[in-house]
Amino acid sequence: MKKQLSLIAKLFLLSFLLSFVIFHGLFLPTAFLNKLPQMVTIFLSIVIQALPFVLIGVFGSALMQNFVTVEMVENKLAKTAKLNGILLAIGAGFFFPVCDCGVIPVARRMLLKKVPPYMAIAFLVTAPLVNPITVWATATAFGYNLPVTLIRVGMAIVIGIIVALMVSELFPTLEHLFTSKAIQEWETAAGDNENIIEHHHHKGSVLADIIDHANEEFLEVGKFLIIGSLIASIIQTVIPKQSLLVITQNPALSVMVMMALALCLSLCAEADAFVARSFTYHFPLGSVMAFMVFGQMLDIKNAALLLKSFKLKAILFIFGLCAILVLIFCTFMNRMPINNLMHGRL
Amino acid sequence: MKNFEKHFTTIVLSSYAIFLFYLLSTGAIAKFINPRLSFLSVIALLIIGVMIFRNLAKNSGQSKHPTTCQCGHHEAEKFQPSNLLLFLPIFLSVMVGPGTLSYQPDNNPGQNGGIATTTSINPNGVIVTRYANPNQFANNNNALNQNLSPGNNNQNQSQETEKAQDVAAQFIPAGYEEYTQLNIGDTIFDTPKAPKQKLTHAKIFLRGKVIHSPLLKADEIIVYRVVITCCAADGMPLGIVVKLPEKSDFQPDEWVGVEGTVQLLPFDEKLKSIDPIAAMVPPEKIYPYFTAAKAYQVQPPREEYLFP
Repeated sequence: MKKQLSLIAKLFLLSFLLSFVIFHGLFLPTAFLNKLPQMVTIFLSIVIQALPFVLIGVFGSALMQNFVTVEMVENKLAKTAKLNGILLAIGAGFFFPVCDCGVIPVARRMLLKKVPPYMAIAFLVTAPLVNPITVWATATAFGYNLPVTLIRVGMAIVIGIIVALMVSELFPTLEHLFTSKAIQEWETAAGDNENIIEHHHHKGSVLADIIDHANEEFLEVGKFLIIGSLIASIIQTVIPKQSLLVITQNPALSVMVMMALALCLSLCAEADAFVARSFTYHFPLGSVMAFMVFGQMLDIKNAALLLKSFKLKAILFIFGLCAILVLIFCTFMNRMPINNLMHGRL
Repeated sequence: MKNFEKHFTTIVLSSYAIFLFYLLSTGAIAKFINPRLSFLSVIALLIIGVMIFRNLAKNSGQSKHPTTCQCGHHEAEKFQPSNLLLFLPIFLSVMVGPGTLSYQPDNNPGQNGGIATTTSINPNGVIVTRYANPNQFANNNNALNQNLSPGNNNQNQSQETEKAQDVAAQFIPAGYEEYTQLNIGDTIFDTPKAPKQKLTHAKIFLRGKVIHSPLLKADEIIVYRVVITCCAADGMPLGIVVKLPEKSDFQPDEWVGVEGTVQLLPFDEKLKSIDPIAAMVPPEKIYPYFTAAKAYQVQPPREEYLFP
């Protein structure tokens, strides 16, 4: 019965979306309809831009599924100290060029391979910010300004370490982080690792297995990317930026406004620094930094994907903690006379 | 229905492949993302191609992979109605069609705030787009809509029109050097590649769309273009205040060309609410002020957006 209701709800949503587009003139106010083509442009652009990263992410995840065994991970990480493990995960983010779109499938797969949750969370939170593409984009946007670039990367690493340490204490196992349904699904999917490998790895079929896993993961991840992108494009079109930008005087409030803006805009790691640069006249450096750091840790596009498998409590804790830390660091920055660090080109 | 479910992944992936191939082959991808990053879409296309081939092989039974097994490992491959959402981007691109990003400030009467399109809805609920002159249609209307609409059999004629308009769009007056808003931004922010002296000593031709603002004088307009760094979601308008030889009668979002010189003046704080202007102000609080000797309507360039 529950399943049927869920199906009906989904069909209703779909038919609403269809009628929304086909009969939009009958239902929706003209002010919104004037913005519909713009919304579609933004929606499509987010999808087109994120698609390669999502595909790379799902292939990364599929490679991990096929080549990394639970035993391998357990043997390697058994003697690794907690802090070293966290730094290792952050280091992996530096060499793994995944943006916020591709990081979730990889982090999910890490957890499935029994990588300690605190390491996977450290990777999830920092990888989009410390990867070489993001570092390069930040440096370019701020006129190769080393302090601004280092502050962004440094803040991400510090926050990643703190969050991971807290997760290691409060969410030590997979069961603490994920819904039982998600774990059950994955265990069925991953199965008893050895059996699956034996079952699937027929001679010459490793590549086929990798592609099959990528296919499955794409179906799972793709629809959440679309839901997130749709919400982000609606918010970006409907909420006028100016209404958020009026609050610039209060150091803490301006940080919060920029975090909210980053959450709503769902920008790619490669682009957000350039957009942030355009805010430097309105906002102090701390607030601009909040936009660049928090926006890559969480945005609406990814929230839908996270809700698919993470417990709400875990999401609220992890990203709530990220938000509080960003707020504290950036408000502190706003109170320091460091605005002259912001030089550079658009 | 069972066949549809069986081939669902292949159909989804094929639709994405066709969509991406279309955008890449026609250049329409520049309407959505920075063309410099289109290699990423090529990578996506290749990955999707591999996935399609694998699915076709699996579905045609040539695969050694045991899809009929009952191990439970293939649960995720089962069709779920919510997977239909994957068609939404393709569906929306065909049904609605993307618009052109533009900007009009909040305080302009009758205009949308922030980034907006020039598209509007007529009383019958049909989406229509306004152009300053009919010739702009062929250039402005995106290639996706043109090719997806039925009865598109005068392709040669439209190609010739496009060529003629390309020539017109590339027009630069003799003795002038074309600068974009992005070049001027580079110079103001004093990057090594563009010293300020070069800007203030040059005879400049600038192209862009018009913004009127009550914060400006009657003979002043803003000439702006939208800069796309990564994708349209990060579209950012960059504008220059232009003093015209006489009072302006240009329409908002009309494409204009201005010939003249640039001065770097102390920033006028009252303009800080206009995003395209605020984005051009460096920490030393100066801004570019363009004094035009001539100003006239021009054809929109082939690529409306600027890409850093």
